[in-house]
Amino acid sequence: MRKHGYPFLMLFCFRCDPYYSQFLKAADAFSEALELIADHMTSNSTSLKRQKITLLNNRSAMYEKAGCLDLAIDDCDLILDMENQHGKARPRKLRILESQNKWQEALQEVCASQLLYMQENKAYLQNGLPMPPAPIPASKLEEILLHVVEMEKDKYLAQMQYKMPGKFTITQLLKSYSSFGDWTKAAKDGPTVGKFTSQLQTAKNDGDKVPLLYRRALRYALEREYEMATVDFEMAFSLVTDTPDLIKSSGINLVDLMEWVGMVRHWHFKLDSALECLQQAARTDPNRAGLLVKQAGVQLDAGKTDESLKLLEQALIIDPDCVDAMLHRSNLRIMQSKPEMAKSDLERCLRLQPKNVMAQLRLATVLVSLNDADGASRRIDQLTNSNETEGE
Amino acid sequence: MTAVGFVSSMFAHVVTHYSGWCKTKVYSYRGELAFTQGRMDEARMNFDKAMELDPTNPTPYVNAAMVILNSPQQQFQMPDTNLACSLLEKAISIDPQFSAAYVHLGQIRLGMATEIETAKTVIDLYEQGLANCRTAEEVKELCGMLALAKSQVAAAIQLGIEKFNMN
Repeated sequence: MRKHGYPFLMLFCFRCDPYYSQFLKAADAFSEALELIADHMTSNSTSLKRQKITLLNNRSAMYEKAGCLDLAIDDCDLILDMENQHGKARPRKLRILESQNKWQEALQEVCASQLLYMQENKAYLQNGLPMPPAPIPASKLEEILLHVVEMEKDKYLAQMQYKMPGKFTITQLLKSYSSFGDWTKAAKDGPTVGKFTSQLQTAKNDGDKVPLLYRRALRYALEREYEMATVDFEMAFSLVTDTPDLIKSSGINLVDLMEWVGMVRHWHFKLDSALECLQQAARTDPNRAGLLVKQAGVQLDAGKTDESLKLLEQALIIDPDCVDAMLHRSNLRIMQSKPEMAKSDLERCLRLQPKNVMAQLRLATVLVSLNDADGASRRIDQLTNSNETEGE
Repeated sequence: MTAVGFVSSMFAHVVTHYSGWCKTKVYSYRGELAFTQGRMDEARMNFDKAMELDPTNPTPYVNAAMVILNSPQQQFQMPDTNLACSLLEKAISIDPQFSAAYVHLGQIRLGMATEIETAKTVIDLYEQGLANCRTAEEVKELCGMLALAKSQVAAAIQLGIEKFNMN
């Protein structure tokens, strides 16, 4: 065995094939030459250093051809320690790492190459001049990065805890439903949270608590305290589930409560239980199209676009004037890159509710994407002839 | 009238006749439209107005940061990256789940980093973003950013490069 220092590896990668053995013989010859240099090298031997680099490079190439990839990489590392800009060592190391599917190490080599390139061309960068072509194309970086992400993402996906969206996002969602004005007005006109809390403290039985919890939850929702609203809705629902007779004396509509419970579970990404609750509500009141719209939202977040679409279509069969279904279906169409269908839904929505600002804004962006000048002109004529003065 | 012209007229109409939440949405949309048309000053003005009308909406903060980064600069002048960073940090404080804010903030900070220790804080930022992701797509995007940042730091250490900043 030659003195490569890795006799086991040599045995491992040695093949009884003349094609490979010729490369190993060549590598042996380079090793002998390196040993000779080592005997004569001093700290000032720059020419010998150059020769060493050349020999290591040649040996590395032979190892690569012989399939002794780890030895080839070791030689590349020795070269790069002496000359980090060596034109062949880093590309060879990168090539080998890719062939071994060592994607993170490969990514580090790409980054090293880029950092050196940026340092070398610093003057171009500082003066805003065009830079020479990068040694490694962006497409190679992207390709390697994709492999790294594939390896790493599962760890983060497993750790992902579905948190409630931000207050602004939930508020926007609530405003997208046509019932927003009704429940917010009722909550605004009613007692404060503090008042409800004192009443709950003196409530004599669960029958008294259910309506107080429900109304306090609405007040919390008005004030954007969605976590607190969730607690109250779930508590009210729990009491009613345990004792169904409570709902009769509470003055609360059970379907309204179930609709809210379905929504708050959706916010918390408890999609299965959200859907179950909304489906139960829909069985209780099959004519409330809004329940199907909310189920559609849950299915969309579950990645079930087709089911979502079917639910919105069913909602429109139950209530052909259901603007919520039109608005939310238009969203889905935009996501599906079907702007013409989105436009159709939005125009239908606006015929029924000309003051629907969200529909107007969405239609605006759809029209721009369609570059529909004639349609735009007709819209502006309708808009300027209307007497809208309403706020939110 | 072109479609863009119509949209501008529609926005003007809504701003005149509607109030509160409606206006902030309109200014935000108006800003996005101006941005796509390359009218950066107008875009910035609309985003600033949207922020003023509703400070709880994180989107105009991110969009304003994008205007700063994408506005044409005079020769030898750099965008106000400090201001862009503060806008993105504000967006994250309003909504810690705003994944795009982490992506852009990390990119700016890494570009501005003069020391490797500063670059390492970008890794912490991406880890924070990953802890707040809500969808698999967000995880993939931030995962890629994190992997790249880690590799850049590791490569710099390997090469003995002490400073990232090319300025």
